[in-house]
Parts: sequence; structure tokens; C-alpha cells
Amino acid sequence: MSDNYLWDRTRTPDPELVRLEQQLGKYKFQPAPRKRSFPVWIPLALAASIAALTIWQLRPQPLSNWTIADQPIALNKTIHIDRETLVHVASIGRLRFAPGAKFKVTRSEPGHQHMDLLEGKFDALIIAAPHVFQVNTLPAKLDDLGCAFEVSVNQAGSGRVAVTSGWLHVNAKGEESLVRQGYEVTLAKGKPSSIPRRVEQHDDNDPLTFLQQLWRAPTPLDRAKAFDQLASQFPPPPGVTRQRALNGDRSIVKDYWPVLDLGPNISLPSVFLD
Amino acid sequence: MNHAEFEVHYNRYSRYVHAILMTRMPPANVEDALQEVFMEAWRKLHELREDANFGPWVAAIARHKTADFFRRKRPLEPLLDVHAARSIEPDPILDALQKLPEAYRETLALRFIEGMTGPEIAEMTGLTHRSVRVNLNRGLALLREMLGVQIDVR
Repeated sequence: MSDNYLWDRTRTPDPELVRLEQQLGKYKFQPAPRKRSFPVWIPLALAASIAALTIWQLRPQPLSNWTIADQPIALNKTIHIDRETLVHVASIGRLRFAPGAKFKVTRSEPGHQHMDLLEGKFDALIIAAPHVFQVNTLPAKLDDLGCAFEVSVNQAGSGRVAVTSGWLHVNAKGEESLVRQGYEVTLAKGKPSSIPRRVEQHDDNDPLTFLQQLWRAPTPLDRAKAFDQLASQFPPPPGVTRQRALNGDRSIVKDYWPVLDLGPNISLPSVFLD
Repeated sequence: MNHAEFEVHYNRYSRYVHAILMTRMPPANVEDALQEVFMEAWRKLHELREDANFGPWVAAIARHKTADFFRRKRPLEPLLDVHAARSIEPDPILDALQKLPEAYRETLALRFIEGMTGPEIAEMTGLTHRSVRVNLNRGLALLREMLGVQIDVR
């Protein structure tokens, strides 16, 4: 074996090393091809455009503030879900996708968290100001008004939206619907959504509902009732007491938040900090 | 550092990052991981104090990224499979390379996968010529030991 060939490929090629180069060289990094579709006589301005395009192509793919398993999701990258997967939407909530779903994060900046649901199903728990979270599907655009909901669509553009907490604005074929907690609409490509109808199996026992009741309840009795319901499912952390709820101490929400099953990355929405 | 400056670093160090990833993960996932490494580098640029340290810094991100890959392999599979319905055929030589000690496998990957010479590897990694020589010779000896027959068959 020639040490020189191993070092700098000088002297006689060693057949063994050449074989290794051939075997492993097939994995060599292949940089993104630079477009050379313009003849060399194209004006310099066009050349500059090509250079700019190349830089644009090589730029780091922008990331959203959404994560899967703490990994940021790239903007406009189609994500295929092959098992139940939790997606955190910035700091405003989480989506739980069912296997088979495909989606893209299309916008992610403060005040605007948008996605395309290409196919499949997820349930969402979003706590943000109205219109921050938006879902585009083939048959309809869904505009969150601060709520939890389930949505499913198939490739043909048929689907269903059911709201489990709060309100959702649905715009399909120019027709707008407000869907409230406990109601659902069906979707079909090119058609307005159905009239919202009551979902039979509505779950009133989600922590978000109780939390909002705790926040909004006008009387001590209502607050105590909401506190009891919440405490029956989620034992209050030290210092969070029924008396504080009775007293209308709104900071109780902030103290309660960490023990609620609302996702590890979610931070307390500003609506509760007013 | 602006986009253009970052691109210069990308062009300079992408082979290095690629080699690191190749020694630690399935080839089918390397392309995506490479993008993710540079995305993370771009996102964390504020943490880089000296531009001159970009190479070792991005190399560390790459090593960390592969650790993440295996730590979170199951939940990440849907993401990593996005572009890759690519079949993965076993490659005994690459498998053996991936089993070498870190210093040897990275140096050998730069030499045999990326086709760099010893001096180029030294310049890229910041290692001395002597260290690169040692890594190449000892790494190759180990690789031969592990593969023996496969390498010798011509």
C-alpha cells in the first residue's frame, strides 16, 4: 500500500484504496446543481439573477415555530404522518394528527399561524386571539376563534369539522358559518359547508372548558363549581385552592396551567394574563 | 453574517458535514439531515462568536443532530421519510466504516467518500497533518481488519 496515495493520491494508485474510493465514493456529497440553462452571452443582469436564484435555492429552509418532538417544522414542507403525532403550534396550542394525514405549515409568525391540511384528520387545541390560527383545506378555510376542534378531509375534498370548545369560523365556497362548541359541519369541495348541527357525543369535560369557566364565571358559586370540576380531573398544584377561586383570584389560572394536560411546550395564553 | 456569507460557509463545509452524517446515519436520511444541520446553524448563528469557528461549530451541530436522530428515531420517522421512499441496501463497507472510532471514521469518510486529500482534510477539520495521517493509517488498518475479505477481493 502506498502511504502517499492514501495521503494525497500521489505515486502509484493502490488498487485496494482505489476500490475503497469507488465503493464509498458513490455516497459523495452532491451539491445542488447550479442552473446553467442560459447561454453564456446572456447579459450580465441575467447572470446576476441566476446567482441570486442559486443563493435563494441554497438558503437555509426557513423554519416555523411549530414542532414535532421538539424538532422545528420547515415552512411549506409537506409532512406525512404515519402514526399518531402531536404537533405543537408555536406557543398557542397543539394538534394531534391521526395516521395518514398530510399537512404543511404555510405561515408562522407572531399573530399568524397558518397551515394547509392536505389530507387526513387532527384534533386541535388552540388558545389564541381570534384569527391567529387558520387551517386551509380543499373544501374550506377554518378560522380559529379560540377553541378546540376536530377536522378531517379526504383527497376528494370531503370532510367534517366538529368543535369541542369555543367557536370556529368556517368559510366554504364564500359561505360563512360560525360553529360553536358541541356542533359540527360537513364539508364538500366546491360547496358551502352544511348548517352546523349538534354533535351527539360532545365532551364537556375538557380542562380548557373548565379553565375558561374558571376565568369567566361571574359569581363565586360558578367559579367554585368550575374549580371543583377541574380539580376532580386535575388535582390542583400546591397553593391553588378553592378559596382563591371563590375570591376571584385570576392568577389561579396561571398557577394551575402547568399541571393541565395541554402540551409540554404550550405557554399560558395571553388571554389569561389580561 | 448575511445570506451570501452563509452560502460561502455552506459551500465550504457541506462536504465536511455530509461526511460526518454519512458516518453516523443511514444514507437515505443524510440529505435531509444535512439541510436540517444548516437550517439549525442558520437559526443559531447568533451563538457563533467567531466566523472562523464556523467549521468546528457546524460539525458539532451535525454530530448532535445524529445523536438526536437515534434518540428520537421513532417519533421522527414520519418527518425523515417525507422525501424518502428510498430503498436502503446494506453496504458492508459503509457499515464497517460507521463502526470505527469517531476520529478515524470521520477522517476516512472525508478521504474515501468525499475524495479529499490529507492536506485538505487537515485544513477542513483543523487537525494537524500528523493527526490526519495517523487517523487515515490506523483507521484504514482497522477497516481492513473488520472487512478483510471484502476489501481484498478484487
